[in-house]
Amino acid sequence: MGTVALGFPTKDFFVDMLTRDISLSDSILDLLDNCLDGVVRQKSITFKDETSKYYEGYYSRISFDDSSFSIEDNCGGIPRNVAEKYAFRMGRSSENYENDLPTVGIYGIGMKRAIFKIGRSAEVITRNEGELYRVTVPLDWVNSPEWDFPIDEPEMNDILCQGGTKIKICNINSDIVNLWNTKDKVENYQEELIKAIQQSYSFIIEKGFRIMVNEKEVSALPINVLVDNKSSDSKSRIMPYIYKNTFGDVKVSLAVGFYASPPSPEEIDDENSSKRSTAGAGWTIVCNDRVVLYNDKSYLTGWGESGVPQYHTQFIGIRGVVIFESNNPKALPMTTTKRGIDTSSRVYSAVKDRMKHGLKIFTDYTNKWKGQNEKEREYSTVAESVPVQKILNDLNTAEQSGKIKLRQTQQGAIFTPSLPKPVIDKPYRVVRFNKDIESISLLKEYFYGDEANPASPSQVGEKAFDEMILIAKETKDKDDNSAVLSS
Amino acid sequence: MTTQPFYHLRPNKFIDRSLFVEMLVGLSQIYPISSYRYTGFGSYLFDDFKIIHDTLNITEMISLEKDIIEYQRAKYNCPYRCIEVQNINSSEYITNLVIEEGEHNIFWLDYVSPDDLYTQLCDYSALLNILSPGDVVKITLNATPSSLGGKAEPEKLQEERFEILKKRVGEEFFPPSLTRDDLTTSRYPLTLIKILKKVIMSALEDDPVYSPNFMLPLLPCVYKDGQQMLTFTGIILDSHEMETKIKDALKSYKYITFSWENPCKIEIPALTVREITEMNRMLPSKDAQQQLENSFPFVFSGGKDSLVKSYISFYKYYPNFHNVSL
Repeated sequence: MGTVALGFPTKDFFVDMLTRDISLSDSILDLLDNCLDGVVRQKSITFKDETSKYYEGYYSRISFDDSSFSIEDNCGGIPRNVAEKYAFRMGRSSENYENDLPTVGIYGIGMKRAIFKIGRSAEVITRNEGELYRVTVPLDWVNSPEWDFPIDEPEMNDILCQGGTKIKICNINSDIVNLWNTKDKVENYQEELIKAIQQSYSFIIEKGFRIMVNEKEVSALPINVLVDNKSSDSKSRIMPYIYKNTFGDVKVSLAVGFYASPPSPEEIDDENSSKRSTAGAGWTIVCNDRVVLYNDKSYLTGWGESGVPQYHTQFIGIRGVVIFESNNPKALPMTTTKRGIDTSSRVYSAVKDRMKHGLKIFTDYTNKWKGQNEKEREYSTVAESVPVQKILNDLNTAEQSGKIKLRQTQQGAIFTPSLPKPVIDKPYRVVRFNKDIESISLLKEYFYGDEANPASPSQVGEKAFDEMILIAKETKDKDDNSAVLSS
Repeated sequence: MTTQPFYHLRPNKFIDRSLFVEMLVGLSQIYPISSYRYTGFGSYLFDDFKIIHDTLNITEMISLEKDIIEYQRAKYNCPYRCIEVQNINSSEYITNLVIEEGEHNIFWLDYVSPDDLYTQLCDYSALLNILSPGDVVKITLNATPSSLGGKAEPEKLQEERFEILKKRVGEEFFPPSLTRDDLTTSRYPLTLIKILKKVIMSALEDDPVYSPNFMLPLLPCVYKDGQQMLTFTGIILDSHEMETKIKDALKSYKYITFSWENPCKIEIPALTVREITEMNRMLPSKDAQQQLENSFPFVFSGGKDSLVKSYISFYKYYPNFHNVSL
């Protein structure tokens, strides 16, 4: 009979818990986050210059097939004491080894999680300040009682010369092998991963960081909104709403606007029947260059709260970006997984009020022009699509040239656009109805002499309405006249 | 608004307005009220604009009118050059409003339509969010329970109205402690104050680190000229020193309670000129209530003493309407 009840965890349980709730792509993004933290540690620059190519010269190279996965970077490697004391432990020690640097990640669970998500054995080779060493995750680690990982210093003078880390994972887990075991499947997953990387790292790629997936370079996918630089009437043009402020050590800038014209009734129908993608709309939130929320359309970003309508297909053209920057990553409103917003953050709740404010301007505009899309497009098609980052970077120039005037308010600096307004001489209502195709074709032929005429169903409907109005007016005039005559 | 007969002849609303203006006069001991901007819904009669310009000498005034026809009528009837009438609904106006540092405002959101309660609360919230310390906001809401509709039989009516209110207000602003018993005629105004308090808290006080603003309630009023209405006036502050100063400056105004709980009730019956003259000869006095009740049983009968109390409190403000030949 024993005198204690066994309480230490089994490794199986640990590994299972660790990898259960994370997708493969997210765990690979964790590895990329570690690379970026390496850059920041390497450069040791405290406040990042917003416009510079901060990550220029740094890269991360990902390759995979059904026998191995590797990721190699030139981002400075892991300091030996960090590897010995923290980086490979299951969980993060509360001791703080990272000084006040603007990193997104805090070496925690990410690397271990990615390794065990993908395979059963790995080696991490890293060169930091000239010194190269290797940490091995042996194949039988899960079944052995030993928790520590061996470190050695192999002779490898020709690799990682600039300083960096290479992680190679072998004995790929069977469910992952299933994703990667044919050329088509590898290509398919490759596309998926590239898309995930673009969504999260476009701001970083824009600033010079290079990411290769199976030798294919990932390009940045800038987030654009419409800006009207041409029209002379500054009181009536399509511009984004812009906001800037500083909360303690967190700098915030925000822009929200249209990235496409508000949709016509046909486009809303297409969207509702899933013929068009809604992916572009919503809020993207960036913390220290890292996208933590991409195109969100929920209450998290103010949709459906305090007078802002819930996201609906008619708002498909609205898009916004909020950029948070700080030397103190703990002050940033993101969750520890870096893939979500910390809604309890006070900075975020103050900024969210402005997000709702900006959003409402564009939902109001969309509602106001509903049913008058053609007239609306006279304005929105004049505007050009400009990356949000460029708009925010060029604010000073735009202010000097008088295109944009930020106004200093108690809540921070705000630019509210004066969007075009429809001329309302009398109240308008939307008329919508469904009719069978045959009848629509019949009317098309009647109006345009050819049932193959490209007129849309709603144009045919409007034409029918307009024709009927003429008849109704004529009849009314006649009646009025005969009434006058008979009196 | 035009569907209400004798809009400008409603004596209880008239008193509510007079108290508001008197309170602003009191505040002008502390704040430069005459340099504030006043924004309201002047309609085509501009009663509030006239009295506010005349009494406080405010010269920057904006009247919002959403209806295009009413807007034209309003422009025609605009009494002073310093009033700018804008053809816009309040919601849109507030969304596009940018208040620069150093600008000060008085707002009166004089809402009438009970159906749009949610929009009204949202606009109020959005406005509070951008106003500055020292700014004054008054909001009017319909406080008649029957305005919530409901077709259920008498026993279930309150329950039904409770559900309607919950739906109208929305989860965001609905205080979870409310029950169906809060929907009686006498308690409904208090219920609305509770809802307003929740809106105010979420707009101002959830973020004390970056905005120390809070609202000091000044003057909640309930009046009735047909429909029972609630008005709630508060001032936005960022320091409790100012709170003490304001309380001191307004201490002689008995109807200003600085409380969320005790709205002053304005319910003066319609009186003839002769009645007013005779009643006022007895006022003010300590045992006025007894005297008035004895002398005017035909006015103050029915066991409800709120009418006579209300008259004693507000007789000074009771308007006289006469036929005039011009």
